[in-house]
Amino acid sequence: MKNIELRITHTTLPDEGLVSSHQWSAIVLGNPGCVHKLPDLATIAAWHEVAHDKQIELKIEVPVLFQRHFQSTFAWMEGVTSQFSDVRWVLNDYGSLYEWKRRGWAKRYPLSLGRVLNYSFQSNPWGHVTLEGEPDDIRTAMGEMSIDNEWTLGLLRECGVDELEVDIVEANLTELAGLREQGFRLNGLLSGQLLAVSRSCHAVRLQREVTGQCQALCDKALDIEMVYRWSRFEDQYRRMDMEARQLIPQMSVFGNGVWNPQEVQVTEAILGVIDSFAIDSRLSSREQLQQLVVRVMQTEEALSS
Amino acid sequence: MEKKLKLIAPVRSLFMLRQMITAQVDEVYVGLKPDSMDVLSFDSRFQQVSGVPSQVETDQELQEIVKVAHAAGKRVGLMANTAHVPKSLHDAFVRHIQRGIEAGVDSVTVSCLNAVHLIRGQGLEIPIEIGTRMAATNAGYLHLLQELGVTRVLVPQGMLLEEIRELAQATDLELVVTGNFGGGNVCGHCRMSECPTQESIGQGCRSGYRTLFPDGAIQEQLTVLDGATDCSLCSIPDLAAAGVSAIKLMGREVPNPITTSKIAEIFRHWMEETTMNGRTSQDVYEEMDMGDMMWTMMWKPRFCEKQRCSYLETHTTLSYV
Repeated sequence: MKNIELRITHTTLPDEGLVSSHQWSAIVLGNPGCVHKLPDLATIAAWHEVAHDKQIELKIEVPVLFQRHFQSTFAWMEGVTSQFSDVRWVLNDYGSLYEWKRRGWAKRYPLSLGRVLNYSFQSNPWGHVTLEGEPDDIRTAMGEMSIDNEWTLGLLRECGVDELEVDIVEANLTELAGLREQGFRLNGLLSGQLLAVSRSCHAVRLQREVTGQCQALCDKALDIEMVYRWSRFEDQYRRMDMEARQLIPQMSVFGNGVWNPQEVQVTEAILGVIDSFAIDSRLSSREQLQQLVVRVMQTEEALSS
Repeated sequence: MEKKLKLIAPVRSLFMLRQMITAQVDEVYVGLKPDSMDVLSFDSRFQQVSGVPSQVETDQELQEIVKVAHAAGKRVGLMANTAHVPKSLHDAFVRHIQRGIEAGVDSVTVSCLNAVHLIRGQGLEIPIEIGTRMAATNAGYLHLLQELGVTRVLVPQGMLLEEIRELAQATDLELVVTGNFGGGNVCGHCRMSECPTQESIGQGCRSGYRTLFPDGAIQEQLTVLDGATDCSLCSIPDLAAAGVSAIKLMGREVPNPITTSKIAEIFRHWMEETTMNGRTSQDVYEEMDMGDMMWTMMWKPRFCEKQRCSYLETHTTLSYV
């Protein structure tokens, strides 16, 4: 059965029923954007016990780190690793990767590369419209992934990265297969796609809350539909035409992250390339989440029969 | 002793360069139209932004710009700061850099690590600087970039003054900050750029959204992703004290270069008055209050009154994670 991991990206989300609803391959805490959503040691200990009982992996995703949190987050990571050395980490910026290596943690603790550093023009939900202005060879080239080059992959290996979080894009499957052949396991998120991380938290700013005391703010989405274009030179908003609006997917804002919540339709080709899938409990409702799991299993069954 | 704070300004033509020389900027930077693309470029701007070109059109024009700039004692930087150089375009990217070097540029700005490797791997001896799209948000990045032989880093927008101070203490690299305009998301970690082939689609972070709240309430026009800041004037003395070596202005793509040169002139005046003549920002602001601050791009109502301040305590900066 294909590995499917459950991402519990927010402290308000865990519930026993969800965790026991499927034989997950891993439980993932943390998130790509906000340091305030990292679990404390007691929470990690509780999840570690759950993971140990179920004989599955526990992962912690560390967000993009800004200088204010850089040293304190690594000190926290040191505390976690000293107690739970089998936790797999996910890092989302090259500065953190550098510090990871500098501390001698490369290959000492399991490490994955997060999705923030791994993108292509395909990652822009309306990138294909932009590329309509380019010849075929440029369109193809712009679809290639940011990390897929010898030097960057070498750097990742030096840091001990053996798993890559990737966007599941059909057009990139050949390239993804190439990365796999080079020894990296691939993890793809089924629940949607990360589009942006911000410094100023959209949820805090909009709801006039206080950063750090905002735990309940970003467990629910603000659903947004692009309607107005800002004309930078006139500093005015213009209503977009309907044709353009239809090119933009509805998006969801969770805290300082913007997501395209459109679920990936798992195909035979995708199953052949991606080693493990992830489902984010914040992006999908409980029902959607179960349906995602069922769809993966049905595709697998169809394939095996 | 603090070094003199430099001012770096955008240029896309000889005309714009002359305006910037008049405004007494210290350095200029340019993009160069690529050979191989029709819409995209090897820098962080499309070839046209709202119908206005962003890059120098030809090698000959770039050579002329470099010649005139050097004669005026100004360095010229080439922007090659795309956030991603695809594998299939490595050779084209290197050729693009070579065009700039042959035209005489003094430095190249890139925004992805692989670009540093490509330039050094080809033995191209030119100072490499880092743009905002690298999103070098912590000291780990700076240590890595220093090891790679980079000379200067443009600190990402959305950084706090105290963070910049820490970064300056952590490295020997020159730190530059953006003087005007920023992004609502972290540039380099955002996939929501505007769309040059569909005029109606603007920057994702600055767009207006119909927003559905968790309680079912709907707001029809909300700039929900606008966490951007746009002005650093009042913080210039603090930035200098924090160890910043230069302020870089945005705006290669502006319709009217004269307006941008006027902004450069305002920054120049502010920098000199506060960092060399001992005046406070408040004092300079009051001097310019009903003149330049009111009538240049409606600066005061647009940025001051809306608290678009990059390094002061505002609702936006207090919301930083």
